[in-house]
Amino acid sequence: MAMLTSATSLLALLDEPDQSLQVYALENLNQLADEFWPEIADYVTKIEELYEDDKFPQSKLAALVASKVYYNLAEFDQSMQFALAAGDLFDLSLKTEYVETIVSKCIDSYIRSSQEAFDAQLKDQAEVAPDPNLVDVVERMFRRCIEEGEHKHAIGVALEARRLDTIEACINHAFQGGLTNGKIKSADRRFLSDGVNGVDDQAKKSEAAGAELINYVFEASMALVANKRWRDEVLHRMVELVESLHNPDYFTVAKILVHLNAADKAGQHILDLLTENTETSLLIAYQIAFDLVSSTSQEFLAKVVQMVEGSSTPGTSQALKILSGVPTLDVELTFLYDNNKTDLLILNKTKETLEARNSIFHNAVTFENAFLHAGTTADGFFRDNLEWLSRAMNWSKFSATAALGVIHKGNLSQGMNLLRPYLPGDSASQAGGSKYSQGGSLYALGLVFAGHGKDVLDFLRRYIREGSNSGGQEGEVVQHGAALGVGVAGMATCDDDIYEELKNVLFSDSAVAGEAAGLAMGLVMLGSGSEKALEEMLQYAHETQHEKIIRGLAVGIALLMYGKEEAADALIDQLLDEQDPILRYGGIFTVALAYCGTGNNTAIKRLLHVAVSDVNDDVRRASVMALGFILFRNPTAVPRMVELLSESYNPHVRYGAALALGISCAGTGLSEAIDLLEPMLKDPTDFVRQGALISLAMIYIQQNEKTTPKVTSVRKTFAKVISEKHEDAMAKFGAALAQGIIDGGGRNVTISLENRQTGTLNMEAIVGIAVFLQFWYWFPLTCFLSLSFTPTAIIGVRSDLKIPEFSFFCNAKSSKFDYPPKTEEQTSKAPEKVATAVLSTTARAKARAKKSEKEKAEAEIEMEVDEKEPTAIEAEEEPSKMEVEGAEKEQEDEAEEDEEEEYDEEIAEDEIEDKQDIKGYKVQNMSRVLPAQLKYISFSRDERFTPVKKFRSSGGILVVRDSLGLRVKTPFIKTVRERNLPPEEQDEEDEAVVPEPFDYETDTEL
Amino acid sequence: MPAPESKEPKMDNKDEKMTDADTVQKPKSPEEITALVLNDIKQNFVFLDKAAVNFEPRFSMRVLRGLGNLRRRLTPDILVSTVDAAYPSPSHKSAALILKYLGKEESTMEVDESSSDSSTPVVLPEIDIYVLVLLQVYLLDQGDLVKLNSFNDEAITILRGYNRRTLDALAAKMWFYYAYGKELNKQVVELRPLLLAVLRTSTLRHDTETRAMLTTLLLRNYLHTQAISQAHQLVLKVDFPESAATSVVARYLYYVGRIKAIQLDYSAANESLIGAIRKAPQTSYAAGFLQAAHKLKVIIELLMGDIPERSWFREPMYEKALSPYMDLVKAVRIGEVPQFSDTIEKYGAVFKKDGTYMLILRLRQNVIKTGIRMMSLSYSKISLRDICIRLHLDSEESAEYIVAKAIRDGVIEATIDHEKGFMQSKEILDIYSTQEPNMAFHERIKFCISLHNESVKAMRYPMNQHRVELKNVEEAREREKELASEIQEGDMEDDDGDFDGL
Repeated sequence: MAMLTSATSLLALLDEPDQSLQVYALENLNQLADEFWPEIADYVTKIEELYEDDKFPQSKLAALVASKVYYNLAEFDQSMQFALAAGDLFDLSLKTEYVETIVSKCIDSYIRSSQEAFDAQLKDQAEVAPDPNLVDVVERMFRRCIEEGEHKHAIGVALEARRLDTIEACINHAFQGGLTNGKIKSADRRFLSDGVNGVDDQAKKSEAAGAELINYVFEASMALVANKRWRDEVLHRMVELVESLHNPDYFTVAKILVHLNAADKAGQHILDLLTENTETSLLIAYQIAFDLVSSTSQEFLAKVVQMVEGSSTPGTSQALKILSGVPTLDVELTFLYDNNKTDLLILNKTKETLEARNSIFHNAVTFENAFLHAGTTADGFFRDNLEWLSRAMNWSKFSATAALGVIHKGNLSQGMNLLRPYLPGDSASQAGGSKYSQGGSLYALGLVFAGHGKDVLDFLRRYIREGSNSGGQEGEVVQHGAALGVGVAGMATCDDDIYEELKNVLFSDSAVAGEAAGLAMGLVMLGSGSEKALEEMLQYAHETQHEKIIRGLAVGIALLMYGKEEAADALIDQLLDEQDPILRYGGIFTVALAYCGTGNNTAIKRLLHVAVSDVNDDVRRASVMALGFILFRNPTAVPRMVELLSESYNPHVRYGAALALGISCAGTGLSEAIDLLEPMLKDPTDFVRQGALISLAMIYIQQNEKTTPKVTSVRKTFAKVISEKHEDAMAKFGAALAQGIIDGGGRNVTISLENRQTGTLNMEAIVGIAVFLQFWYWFPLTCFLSLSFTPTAIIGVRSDLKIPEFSFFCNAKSSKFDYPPKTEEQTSKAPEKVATAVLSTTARAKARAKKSEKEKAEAEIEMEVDEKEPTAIEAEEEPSKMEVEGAEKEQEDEAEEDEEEEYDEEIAEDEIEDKQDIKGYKVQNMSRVLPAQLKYISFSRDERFTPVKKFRSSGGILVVRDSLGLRVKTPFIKTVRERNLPPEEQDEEDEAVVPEPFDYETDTEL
Repeated sequence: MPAPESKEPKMDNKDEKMTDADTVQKPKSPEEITALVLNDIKQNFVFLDKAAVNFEPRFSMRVLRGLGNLRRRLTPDILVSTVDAAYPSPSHKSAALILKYLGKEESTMEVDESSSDSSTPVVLPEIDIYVLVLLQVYLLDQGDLVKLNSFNDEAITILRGYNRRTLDALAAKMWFYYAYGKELNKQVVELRPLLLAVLRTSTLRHDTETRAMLTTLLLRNYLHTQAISQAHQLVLKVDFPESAATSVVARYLYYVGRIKAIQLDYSAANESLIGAIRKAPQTSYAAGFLQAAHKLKVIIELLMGDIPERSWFREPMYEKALSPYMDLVKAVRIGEVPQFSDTIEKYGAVFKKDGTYMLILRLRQNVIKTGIRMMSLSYSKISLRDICIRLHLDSEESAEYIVAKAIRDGVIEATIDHEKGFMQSKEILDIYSTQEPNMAFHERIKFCISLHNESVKAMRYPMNQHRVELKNVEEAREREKELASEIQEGDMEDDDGDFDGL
């Protein structure tokens, strides 16, 4: 038969009155639609009429033809409508482009409509049910996916389309033997095997696989589901599903519960485990307790403690002890204390260069010192430089005292004793104590007990109350410190009494105290979203005349909405419409904190809009910085996003871009970010240079020249900026902070806005950075950055909370991978070299150094370098370690004898290991393990100590199982607290750790 | 019957903008030439790689621009070496195919083919397709249609196996040669469903070049069988991507112009053709296309009652090709019907070959109209009888009808006195007192502005140019800083000389 060259003849039939002719024409057109659609398109209205004609027998066929024509006309929406109208005639199983396109259109529009329905439900509006035909097609797709074992596809669509029942159906189907399906990919198999968990013969295998599955759903819903309410719904259901299994994975459940903020359930889990009372269940309970401590708020923990307290099983007391948070802090403090690798030379050099009479430089050195020694308890620098310290005046003194809190952060056992000499109150020294050091010490106390404030809150609150009585400017300073202290220590307690007391301070309308009170109110009620607090704070912000108070309140309000996502939208809209730029500034921070880490597109759009359109520089700066908070889970996206902003004509926007990079890429060493920041180091505006310096340090924290070769030159730049005579003060301040951050916490901490154990937001870190950013207005807030320092270590803890000495395996060539224990030495060595290089090149500096009685120190440095030059790495280990110890000796007066023994042991072991060190090497318990190194770490099953939780590249505290039992003796690493406990043995040491108070007062009255 | 294929080979060449540098320096040994060509091809591979990696269609376009130059220099030896360079082993699917069609190594091939399928290393699809296109071109130039067609079928199968955005431009080229091959083989109608299907696919995938090329090919296909109304439907219903390569746009506009002309929409046709002529590359390589477009344009202008500018006919590129049309224009201009008939008779074969014969036949009316107009301009009053004699019309009545029609169409401004049998011309209007010049200016300004806008859009800005400026600012700041420090350190005495320099 000759080929048809035109469909005109068939189309003419459509106009015939006889329906059978019309049907005949349609049947033929259906076949020919793809070829003659340009002609048929003119008749499409006629075909539509036939479809709408009730009397026409084949209206569905007409719809199908119309659909095909519209498809060819690239009118996909209409094509979809008609395809749906065609009902059964639209054959889903055909694998043609037409069917695939229409089906994907269907799914898209179904997802859209069901999301709208879900949102409508949320707002109690009338639901708009999706087109039943559409539902039918999607249901058919779901059924087909499930039948063919494509569960992952179905789940993906179901997650988007808010279909919990389909997710369950998939899992149930898998439960009934989906495993046999050969088509499934590995990810799905993990998924499916969950269903057979506990029933299958390979129970063990499927148990692991089951955990993988829940993780998959967990991660998928975390990463892809933007709607918080729906996400929570899915996660709740997942928890129920896991719980119904025979052998649930408690860690995954705990993870989800932390995310859901479901303290009751978490408490119940721990109770269940304690009641079970087997060795394993106790260990699991302890591990979960540790995880909870490291990743949840005080309020959450308090609820869990409340639930656990009722129990009377043997493990209860131990669990409660862990939940109190003391062991965690204790162990981390010990780690930081023992491994402190601070390079005092850098600090001394900076101190020499920056003129202390200028208070900004004094502050700079104070903060550098605070960051360098954060959490290490090494406050030797202060005591070595009493004369320098005494130059601190007024608020500098406040900051200097607060810095002491940063250094002793987490030192719960001695914090109070250490600070007693400065605290206001009835002690003898109080008479001479200035109000600034008193206020600073209260703030310091808060920092020491940051996030674990039970013991000191009452003490601090006293000064909030009293301050209002004493009045006057002096009283304000104390109140300011006390309010900040309460805020930090009582973070996220949601304690109404504290809130009320802070409110009273606020209502006294004193600018200094009010600012801190506003901030502290936000910190105490962190993430509560409390309506009452919001209303009161906002109202007062409108009433008061003091900009400082408004600013404190604005940031406080932002803190209230931490992690609230959509729930904060109304407030954000309100704040961004405010007349007062400070409140708009607060609105931007509300966006940042409410949507922190979500990558939410609406939030990003809003921020980008404000960043280029607001009339106020502060607001624009804040909105660019806020991008860093929202995108920190996806750091690679940030450089591209802020690339243009980083070249804005407006220096505030450039500054914001710099810090957005610093926040989002902290600790990653991401080269794209560096490429943007490096030009900013030469920016004509001083504060942009400051921002670039700080951000570089945040990104390069804990990086060495092997992972990121540029780090050496960056460190040089820091030193250069500080030593440059004509550099602006702002930039120098930034460089000093940068030096502090890059080697923060004795080089053992990183900045991470996410909890590695649970993948949830690291609340303390996020809040720490958010408040730190306010240092633009108020230097003492700089100390808040220390809250975001997270120790990078793997610390194995036995069920009796002792830290046994054992080792685990790092599966990377030490030459290839940079973070074996000895490379750790190299990391700490490299900057020292830099320091000396600067000394030798800058002749003048050297000369001055010589003059200033530092010849001895000089000699030491040179020796040090000489010793380190030879490449026999093991040989270096000892002298360099000794060197550090030497430094510590200077600070601590005396070093502990038993510790030295420990070192010797370690060294001996290291030497043996090094000989077999071709592929991989052993790492001692409680030593630094970098985030990038974690994936190479493994535990041997044959070892005496193995972690109870399957090691999944998350560091922190791991509860280990002791295969030989608790009675078999093993060497332990004593914690700092234990070392201080028995008084009769450690007379001298008491002195070492609780040093004499610094004598500020000699010069201050000049 | 019109035979558009005659101009096609020339049309391909219009893509090419290189000068014939190497044809001038002919005296070279064959080895040298081979090496040179191979070098070019390998350079093209590099560009294709860049195009694929950076998602820069610019590089693919650049490679395709060189195709016309390259095709004249292709030899079987070069192609074999190209295959060696492009594919890791001669047993690769495409390589085997090409070698088969080149008639090389067939015996060894068969052995390899069976064993190779499992472990063929990956070749960049862009390079794969490029080499296949090279062979298509080669086979086409050899004139071996049977071979070309069977090869085309296999090459297209390979092409449709890929789904990559970066292949867009290359795929468009391949489809062009495919369709052309089919056309030469007289398989025009059979080709249609496939082209439509591929057009749909490329629309779904947002492959601009392929979409544009296939739309054009389909139009050509329809016009080939005189399916004007179907072609017209297609034009109405398909969104032609404006961002496609200008050569394809030009060709599309040409076809649209033809369709419109046949459908009596002369002004639209004229616009399309002006667009086509402007968009086409103005080089000797595109001469065939430009000639065809001009021929059509001449006819359309005549149909619209305008007289084409004489200067076009003197351009060396068109002089010979347009000479029959020149005669035609002369006849129409004077309004002499016998001369017109003579011209048609004389050049009928040429016009038929150009596919303009049917349109030219419509001109008869215009000739008469022009005649009337000439007369209305020359005489303020003329009897219908004189008109009848002048225009060689059958009767006075028909003259009356024709004049009436001309008045109604606005060709002349006149009235007819039926009783006395004469035509009375009105006073000639001063055109400058009407809106006409305004409109004309408006048209031109609009055209200039859109041309400007399009050029701005088409411009490429060097990346990171502003960084250089930033650097200058930085340097200035550095200098200032140095100066400041020098002043402060009191080193001024030594630097006096420097200051003079400043």
